[in-house]
Amino acid sequence: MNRSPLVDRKFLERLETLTLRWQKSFPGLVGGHNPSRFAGPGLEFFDHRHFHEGDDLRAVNWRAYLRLEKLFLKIFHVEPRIPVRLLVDVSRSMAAPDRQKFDYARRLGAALCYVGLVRLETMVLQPFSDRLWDSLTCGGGRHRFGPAAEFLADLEPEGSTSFLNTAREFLSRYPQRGLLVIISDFLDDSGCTRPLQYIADFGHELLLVHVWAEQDRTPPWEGELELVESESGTRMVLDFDAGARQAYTRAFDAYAEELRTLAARNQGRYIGIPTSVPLEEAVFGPLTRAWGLS
Amino acid sequence: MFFLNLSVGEFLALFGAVSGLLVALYLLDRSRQRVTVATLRFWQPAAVPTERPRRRRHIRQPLSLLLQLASMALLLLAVAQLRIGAPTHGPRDHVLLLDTSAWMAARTPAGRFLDQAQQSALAWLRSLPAADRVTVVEAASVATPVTPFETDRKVLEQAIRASEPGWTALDLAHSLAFARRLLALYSRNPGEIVFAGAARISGEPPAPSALPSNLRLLPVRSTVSNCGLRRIAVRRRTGAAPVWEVLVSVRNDGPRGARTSLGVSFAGRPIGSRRLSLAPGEESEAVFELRTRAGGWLEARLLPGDGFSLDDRALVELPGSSPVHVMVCSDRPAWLRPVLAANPNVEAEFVEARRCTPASNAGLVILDGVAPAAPLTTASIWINPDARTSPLPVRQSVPAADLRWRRDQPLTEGLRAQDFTAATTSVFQAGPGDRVIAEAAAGPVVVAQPGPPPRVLLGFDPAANRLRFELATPLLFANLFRWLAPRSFDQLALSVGSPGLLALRLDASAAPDALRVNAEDGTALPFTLHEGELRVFVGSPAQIRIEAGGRTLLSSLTLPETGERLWQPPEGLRRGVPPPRPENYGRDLWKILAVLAGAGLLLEWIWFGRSRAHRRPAAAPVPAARLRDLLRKVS
Repeated sequence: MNRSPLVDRKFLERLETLTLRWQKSFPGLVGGHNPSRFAGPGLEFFDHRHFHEGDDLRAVNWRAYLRLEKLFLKIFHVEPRIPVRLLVDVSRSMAAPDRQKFDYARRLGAALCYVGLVRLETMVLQPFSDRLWDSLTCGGGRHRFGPAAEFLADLEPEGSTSFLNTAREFLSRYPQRGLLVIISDFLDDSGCTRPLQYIADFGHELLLVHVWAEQDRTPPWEGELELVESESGTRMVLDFDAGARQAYTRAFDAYAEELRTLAARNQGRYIGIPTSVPLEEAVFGPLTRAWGLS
Repeated sequence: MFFLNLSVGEFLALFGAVSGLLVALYLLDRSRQRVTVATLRFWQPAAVPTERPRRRRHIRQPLSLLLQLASMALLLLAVAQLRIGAPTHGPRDHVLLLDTSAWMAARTPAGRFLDQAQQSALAWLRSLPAADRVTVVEAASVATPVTPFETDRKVLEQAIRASEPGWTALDLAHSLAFARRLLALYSRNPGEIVFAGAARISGEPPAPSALPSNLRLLPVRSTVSNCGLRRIAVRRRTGAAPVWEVLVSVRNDGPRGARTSLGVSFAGRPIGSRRLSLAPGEESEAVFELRTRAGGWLEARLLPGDGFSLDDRALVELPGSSPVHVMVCSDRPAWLRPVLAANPNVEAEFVEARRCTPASNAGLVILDGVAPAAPLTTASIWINPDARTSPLPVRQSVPAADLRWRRDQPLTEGLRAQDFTAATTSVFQAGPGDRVIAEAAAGPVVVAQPGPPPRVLLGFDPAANRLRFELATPLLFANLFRWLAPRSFDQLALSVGSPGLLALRLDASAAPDALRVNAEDGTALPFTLHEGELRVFVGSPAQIRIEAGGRTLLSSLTLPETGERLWQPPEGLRRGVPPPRPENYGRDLWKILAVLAGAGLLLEWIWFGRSRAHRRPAAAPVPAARLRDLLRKVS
């Protein structure tokens, strides 16, 4: 079947000016475009230290030795190849009541993946709901974007959200620390702050992209409602009026603030994006302002 | 209290349907909505503990429903035009037949008859209750409605005042039947058929039993003396081309005997006059003779004038007549003179054979054994041409031959003579397209060539043998003249009459394909042909031209048709303007009801509607299950 692309060519051309940024320094292989405070083999001078046995003689600062008669070793910045992992929520709540959030998350994931590929990052696309689904690792330039976009386009809503299981599986599957971008509505009945804290405690940098539909924050209905939760099928009957709507919105905003606090506490970032904001505007607006992209 | 527009049953049925629809929409709007959401965690703090009893789950905001139902009921009452009062009868629909026949143009010192009829009609109109509807119909030879059933008195009065007399007579029976049909088809509550006019009718008056029971007469004092021209007929006298016979018919339409003077003039010069004494209803004819070939206006006038001046004078244009110029080249003209003198439309010129030079104005040239000096450009008859100069090759010359007419040719029409023997005859070599009129055993001896120019060749000398004394000879020449110079046989007649149905009895020989009926500007008029009678209807003054074969009738339909008699209505009919009738149709409440209904709907919207504006998203679909539940509730 002939599907429409997740992101169009014009948008991709605009994305080529962007770069994924993270705030933490991670040890790793040389590569990528993010500076590291870790010393190691590299090109850019970082500091001196005393020479120890076994150190590479090529790094000795011979000029300092001639003047001070002490061996100092020049150390350099390591330019690590830090993996960037995109966790895309594919739970059924993302598709409730329509597929707005789900489609938006897939398109946003594709855009971030393209930005990373252009800057020669190694991108891991990891869908999740109550567990981690099959992932796709890609890197090596923009010409690898095709399989990634196809992978995202083939995703379907499945399962209910469990951040605890997801975090557990993630930490065991990806021991190397890196930038973790989570695109989700963060709606987990058992809570998602604790699992996210676990992940942050393991040294991963969190970039939480909170996607919601307008009716998730401001329900338009009024009167007697029979609510059905999309994932569990749990029902609830209530009268809903303007006052209740305000209380609902307050609870939603409090939850979003909780996520923001969690991210900030762990040197991460939180970006909330309603689906009513066009994707291009979201990428060059909130995401750039939050220093997730530059 | 009663409804003006609807019956009680209709109102209840309509209200029931609207109420059902309203309740269904209400339940659809207020019923519980089933919504699928991503999570319930934010709904918990928003949940309002409900204390409503279970039975109110179906009917919430009952005041809103009551307000809507009451507003709808008020709106329907306004539509039904609820009135307070006890009506004796409802508003009625009337038909006003205003006589606009030609006779209504007659004038008395008090004014025209039509003016009287208009005043009576206006007075009658003012006597009606305001809610009664009236349609104005102009009645003449046909009935023409001017307004629909209308309550607006200004429109009706304007229509009455704008009516003018026509040119045709009144067909009362037709107008009454038309009024009946109007009431039967378009009236809700039939009222009266009112006839205002002089009622001078043509044809038979309607039978008293056929008169509508609801007929009211607004009679007009139509006593006026009138002698009028009824018909003028002009035709050429047979055998004398420049003489026209003018027949003028005059009728006395007044109630008393009258003496009048009829004068006829042509091109301003009087050609005759008559003094006529006519009894009431008597019609008299006078014949005048006019000798002229020139064209001009023929006028007939009655003196002194009377109350109806339109039929005191009539004009008809006589066309000029010019005979066909026939040039005869012959050295023995004596035998041809009687043949040519018989037709008054032929002017013959005899020329010696040796001087035969056809004139340019010749319509026909007869060459008796001679050939012209120059080729001919006009129609010609060649009698016994020389073999060397004959326009058709002469195959041989036979000394004596038995000749035989060809009956299949139109040119032999009427030739009943037996076959005959000619002395010396030339036999022609007929070409393709040539028509053989007579032939001998050796070949054609009389040949017609269609041309142009057309010509006929006779291979023998009609004057040299027995054929000279046969009837076939002038008939043959008449046929040849009719074919070669058709104008010489044109029959022209003129008439002056009245617009309306014109019937003309045609000759049996008149071919239907050759019939032409044209107006003055040349446009074709529709006509019917039934059992040899041609009928044309002309509703207004006009000049028409009817051509049927060689016969032409110019008819000037400019005399008014005054009708033949005054209608004497039977006793017992309602007459005159009735006294003004008080309107007792109750007080009209629809405006108040409509305002109340609007206020109710506005209140409902202010109290309940504004909060519903954001109640459901526009794109939210109504699940089929919900619809089924709703229908179950409603049923």
